[in-house]
Amino acid sequence: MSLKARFDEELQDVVFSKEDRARLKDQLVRLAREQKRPGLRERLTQFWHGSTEVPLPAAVAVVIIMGLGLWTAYSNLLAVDPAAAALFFKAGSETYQVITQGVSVL
Amino acid sequence: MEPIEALKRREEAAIHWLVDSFSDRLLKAATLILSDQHLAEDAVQDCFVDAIANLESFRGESSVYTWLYTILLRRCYQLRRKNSQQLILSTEVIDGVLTRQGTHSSGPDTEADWVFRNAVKKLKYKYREVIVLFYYAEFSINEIAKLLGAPEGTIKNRLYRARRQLRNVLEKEDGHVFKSAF
Repeated sequence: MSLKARFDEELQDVVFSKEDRARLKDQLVRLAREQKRPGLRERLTQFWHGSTEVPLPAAVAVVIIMGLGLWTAYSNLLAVDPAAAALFFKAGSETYQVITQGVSVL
Repeated sequence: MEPIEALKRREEAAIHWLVDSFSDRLLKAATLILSDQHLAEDAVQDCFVDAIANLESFRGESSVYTWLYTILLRRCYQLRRKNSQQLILSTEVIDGVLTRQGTHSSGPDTEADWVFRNAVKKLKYKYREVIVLFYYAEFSINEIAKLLGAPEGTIKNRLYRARRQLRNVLEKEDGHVFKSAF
């Protein structure tokens, strides 16, 4: 008889009882549920519903529409006129003066 | 077919499959390695908990069986270190009490009849480990080397010494048993 067979014979009673096996399964399933990390969407939804009743897709749509409206109204504030910018640069460079005299008081 | 993806999704059915498929095999191996069934139960339980907690780290390069063994060996080693002193004491105390009371049964399936289990128990831990992995779990030398993180040459050498020690123990116990086993 091989060593493996001898071990099997001597270890035939070494098994988990039905109760222990069921307990182990329950413990692992519980652990797996705790460990299951929700996805980004789930986490966002969870966070949102923790503080407000407004559905997340509707809130996102409102924010997008408001953003578009504000952009069309105020986007010209961000526009840069190249001619005016050049003039500002020029004026700035002409006021430049090197200080070669005097005492520095700290 | 191993339900790896279902396991990674932590599906209940896959977890049940994992326990049903491997718990007893791992328990038997751990019992041989640790020479204590209760400690072995703890080791197997910890092994499954570790496996579920680290499912993402399983890349599928080896079988689930091999992967679980890697975790189990680590757990056995830790438990053995933690409990070695207590284990010696408790075994000695229990043996002493049983001997005094004369309750050591001589019938079949008792500890006295476990020729091979008792012989393995007498080996050093590192030899016990390779004997169990090679002869009981039936891993190849190459797989054992990977499992234990040691070169193949070291494992071959360890297995050779383990076999020699086991032969000596078994020959002292019962010579013909050894000859028929190898």
